[in-house]
Amino acid sequence: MKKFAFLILSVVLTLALARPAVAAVEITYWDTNVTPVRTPFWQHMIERFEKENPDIKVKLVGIPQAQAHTKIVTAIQTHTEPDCASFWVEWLAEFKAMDAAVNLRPYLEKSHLKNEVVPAAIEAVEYPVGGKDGPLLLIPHRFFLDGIWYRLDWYKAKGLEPPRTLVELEEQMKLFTDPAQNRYGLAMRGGKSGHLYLFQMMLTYAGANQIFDVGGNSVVNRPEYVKGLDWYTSLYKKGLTPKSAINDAYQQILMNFDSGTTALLIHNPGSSTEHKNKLGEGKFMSAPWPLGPKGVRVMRNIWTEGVGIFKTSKQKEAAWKWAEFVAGEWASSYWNRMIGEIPANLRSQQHDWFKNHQYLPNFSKPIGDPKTLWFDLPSYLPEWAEFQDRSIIPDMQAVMLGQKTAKEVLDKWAGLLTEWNQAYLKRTGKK
Amino acid sequence: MSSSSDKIDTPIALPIRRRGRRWLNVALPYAFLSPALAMILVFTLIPLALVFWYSVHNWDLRKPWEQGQFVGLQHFLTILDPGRDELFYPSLLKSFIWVFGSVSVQFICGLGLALMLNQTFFGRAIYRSIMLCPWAVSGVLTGLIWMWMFHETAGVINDLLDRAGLLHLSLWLGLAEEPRRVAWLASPETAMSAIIVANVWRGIAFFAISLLAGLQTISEDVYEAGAIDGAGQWQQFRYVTLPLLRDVIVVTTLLRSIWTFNFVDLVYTMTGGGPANSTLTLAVYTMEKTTVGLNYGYASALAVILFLILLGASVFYFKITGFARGGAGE
Repeated sequence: MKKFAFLILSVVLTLALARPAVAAVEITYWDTNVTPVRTPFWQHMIERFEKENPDIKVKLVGIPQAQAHTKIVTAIQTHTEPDCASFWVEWLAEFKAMDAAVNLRPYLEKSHLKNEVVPAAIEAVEYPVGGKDGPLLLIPHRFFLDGIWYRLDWYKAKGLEPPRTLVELEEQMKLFTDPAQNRYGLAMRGGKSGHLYLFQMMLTYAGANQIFDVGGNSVVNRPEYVKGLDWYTSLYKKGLTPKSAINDAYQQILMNFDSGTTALLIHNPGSSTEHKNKLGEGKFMSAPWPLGPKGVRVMRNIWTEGVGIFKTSKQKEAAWKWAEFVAGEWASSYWNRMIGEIPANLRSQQHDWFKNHQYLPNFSKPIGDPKTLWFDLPSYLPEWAEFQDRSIIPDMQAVMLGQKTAKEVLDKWAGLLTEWNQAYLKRTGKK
Repeated sequence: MSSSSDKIDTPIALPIRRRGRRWLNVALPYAFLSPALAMILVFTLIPLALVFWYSVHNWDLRKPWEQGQFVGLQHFLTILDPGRDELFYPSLLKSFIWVFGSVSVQFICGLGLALMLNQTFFGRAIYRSIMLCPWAVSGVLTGLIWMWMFHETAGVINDLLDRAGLLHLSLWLGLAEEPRRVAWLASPETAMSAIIVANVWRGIAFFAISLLAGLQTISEDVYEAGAIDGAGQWQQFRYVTLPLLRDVIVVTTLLRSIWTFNFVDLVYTMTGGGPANSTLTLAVYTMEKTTVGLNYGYASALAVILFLILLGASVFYFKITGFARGGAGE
């Protein structure tokens, strides 16, 4: 009897001890733009998050930018998605179509973040999936605008000011171009994502921001846009950029600027750490996007990134806590201070490091400036992602090589965009 | 056997009847083969069947309302119509240039290397190992290395040409009006040649090793007989070596051609199919339709067409080269 009682007691005690008081939940988070520079920052943020939330563990998995999209789509198809990941705005339309991401609106409503996230950033996230009536698929923690980086030392030596207009930009490019010395004006981006700068340049030159008219037909082949495309590609044809620019993507344009091959670079504040490391302080500076001949600049609606949660996650609450933390005041401020970008949290923007920053304010100057017009690319169209990689970029390259004319190319784009947009409007009952 | 009077307990008493034993004999080999058969089924046959299935259905991840619709040969008709798919025929042509250019140069260089390594000389073993090194490098890595080497402003090739005072190369090649560095991967004229160079660098090893193995099966007697008959070096090569190597040559060139046709990694990392689609091979096009376009139905139709082309080409190749017809022919 004694033996039996002892046995029962030990079983009960074991069960009581084996059941954890609070189960430590582990969530997997994919960083979709892993670089050796950024990983330590994430780890520092995770440390602090885990200290504040001892019952949640975050497992960080880094994915290189070039493969991120493919990896995520494959994961969704094979049902092996992580709990959460940093989503890019470009993917949201797909995620909605595949019904892969959680609508974070109800979570945001109950959170303190509701009044802290920059409204323009939220709008940028809503735009591809139906605006205010659609879901909210990521919580932005940073955003940026494109701008100009230039070689401060070379400009000082020539006594020049940074370009304020496109005309000045071209003139300055000419001054710095010397092929025999392997020197060029601008590190143009003709490869992946180069179409983003193309559109901004083309529309700035034209001084207009309409991609579609009120009837939903595409107007990208308007004469002023043709002139804009002609002008931008003429920079390449005139030899003011390296010839390899036609293929150059992110790594190559950074390399061109940081190795002293070009005087100018179009990019966003995210590359400031690279410039600091490779060129050193005092050799580079930023400038806001220049104005076009019509006195306005036309910029793409701010690009933003943040944490989103997959529908298949079994730890949505824990994943939301992480998303909320990343977009919160401390994390948004820390991350953007380290990387050199603009926090999407209004409170973080009040911190001293941002208000007194050397390069960042130049990039955000266009916001609130009456001379800035905004436009959006139709990333809500299902055909858009493939169109930008497989059609826009090769067509832009063909114009640069003189194989096609700007009018021919824009007519083709207008035709296709009209067809797709009309189908989209019909499908969503907006027509 | 008087089993009935045995006191020993037979632990297992199988009622072995003659019919059952034969069944077991027949079934046993298949049982041993079944794991391998299962692997082939799951990893080869079923995916293959799925590709054919996808090619006659709509399956675009971005258009879930259409998924699973049977569309018959619609994808094929769209692909083969140059008005609706302007990339198919050009990419097919680029594929042929890519394959023919790569394999022919690889083969000739590989054959030369094999002939040299077939002779005895000091340090031959070391050279044989060194020769294999490029083969060990993955396609993506090869692509990245050569892409940076060929880069116009930062590449080592242009740097060396610059220092050697060969900036005029751009003039001689008709690529510029003033001496400047050649943008190997950015000019449509030179991009294809540049990626072929990278592919050749990698592929020579395969031909060298296979042809070397083939050469070593040719006995010395045949060469001696030829020498006695008065055959010179070239005649020995043409009438002894080549015919005896025929089967090896056919297999290696066919295999290499098929692999090269399907290569995506090297082309994609070096040029991404650019500039302006000048290096877009059919394999890269198909891959992009899948991973970027997320249009599995259309991409599967492209894959089926690719498959049929390669199948037809292989059968044709075997027929005209008289592969495995036996005997050394001439």
